[in-house]
Amino acid sequence: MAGHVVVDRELCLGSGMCLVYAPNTFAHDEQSKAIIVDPAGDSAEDVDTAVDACPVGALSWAPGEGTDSASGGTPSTAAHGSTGV
Amino acid sequence: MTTAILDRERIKTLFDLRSAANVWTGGDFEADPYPIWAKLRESAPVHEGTVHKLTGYPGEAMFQGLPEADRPHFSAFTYAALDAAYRDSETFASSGSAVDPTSGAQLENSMIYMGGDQHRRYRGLVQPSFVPAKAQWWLINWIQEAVQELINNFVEDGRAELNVDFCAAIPVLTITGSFGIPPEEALDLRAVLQDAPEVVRRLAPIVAARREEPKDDLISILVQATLKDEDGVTHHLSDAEIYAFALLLLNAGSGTTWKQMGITLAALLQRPELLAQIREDRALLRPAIEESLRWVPTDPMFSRYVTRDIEFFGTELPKGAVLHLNVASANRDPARWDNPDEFDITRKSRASFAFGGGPHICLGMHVARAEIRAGISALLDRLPNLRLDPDAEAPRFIGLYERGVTEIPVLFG
Repeated sequence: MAGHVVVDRELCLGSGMCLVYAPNTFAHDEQSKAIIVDPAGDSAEDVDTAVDACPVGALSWAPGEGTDSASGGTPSTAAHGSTGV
Repeated sequence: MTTAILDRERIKTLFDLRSAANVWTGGDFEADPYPIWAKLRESAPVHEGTVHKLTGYPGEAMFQGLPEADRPHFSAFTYAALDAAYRDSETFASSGSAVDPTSGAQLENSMIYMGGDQHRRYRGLVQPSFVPAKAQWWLINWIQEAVQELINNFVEDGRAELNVDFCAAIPVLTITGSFGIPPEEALDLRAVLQDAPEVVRRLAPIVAARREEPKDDLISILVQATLKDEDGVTHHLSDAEIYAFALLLLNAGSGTTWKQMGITLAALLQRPELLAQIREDRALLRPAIEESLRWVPTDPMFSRYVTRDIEFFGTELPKGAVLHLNVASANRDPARWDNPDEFDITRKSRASFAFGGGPHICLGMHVARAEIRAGISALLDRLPNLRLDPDAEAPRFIGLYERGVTEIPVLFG
């Protein structure tokens, strides 16, 4: 799961499943859509559990951007995961 | 609020799975279904037949209006099969026919039966009231007070039967409280829940009052909500649409969490060392609740309608068939969890189907978790040395389409 996780706002239902498994990474905006508040808030393993848990497949790992949480993607839409978990 | 006015015998009648109020869901099923479901899961992911017949239940049992006599029924048992069905709501629809929410104030017109964009628009109206960040709103306004009042009723007695005296009342008081219904009318509403016109009759004055003057409650949110229809026109919800929402929320909100709280409590009371650990470290309550949800989800079966002929995990499903999704079996699929029959709060937490899956995943799941967490935590705060009564019959897990515990007799102090 190298890279960063992204939220598809069209698919996101606001169920809050991602907040159960990675509560320091995800939050909801005023429309109850998932946003990423801290790309390094949880371990990559926990973020991956959230990706797996999303009931509508609105979360996915985007390739690239490596392990550096300070690079790539916009803070509101992407979180970074470390490699090799 | 005072909960002393709640009639204990009436709660017992309404909230005993074996009573007439609940036996139609297979409430009198007392065997352990899990070994049977494990055998079925191992022999094939999908079987022909309903879950209750495949389980060997001798009578007729129903859940959500199913089975329907004129449709073939199939049942899925593996995590992978359920995941595929939940995530393909075009092939596996929530209703056998289109839903017209303007056609009448009935449960069948609520969003649980809708699909696609229609479901998304209606769910979007209430989702903001049920997100994790709103748990505090529910706790402060309705849950905490009910929890403390209920404990007040028995704290001096040194003993209680927590299924009746505690678990049963919390969710029904929470959801009716959020509707603006006073506690002395909560059980009346629960008693007539299957009689939609009667529920509507009781809700009508509240809906009218909130239209005049909104408050900080759920009915006010519904009367103020605006919905954009498929033509892009925005309108407020009609009374019929609000009643359909209310019927769904009352059914789901008052009929599930009491059983899951009882299952969680029983599992912990049967493991005194674990309960002692949780008493010392309340952070363990979250994984304990998640494990209870995986281990014995109170609603073990939901269904989908097959909209086209499809070969699904080795079985031909004809268009028009019903597919029972055995979430309880999927939650113990060894392909996803090691030693799945063990209640182990230290296992790596990952999503189960306790709250269903796909776009219809339980709207109230974060409120349910908040109720269970607040309830059990308050018991541990106020009842020292809480333990099962060794002289009473131990809790047993029963029920087919609605699972829960028989009784939870405890001593404390």
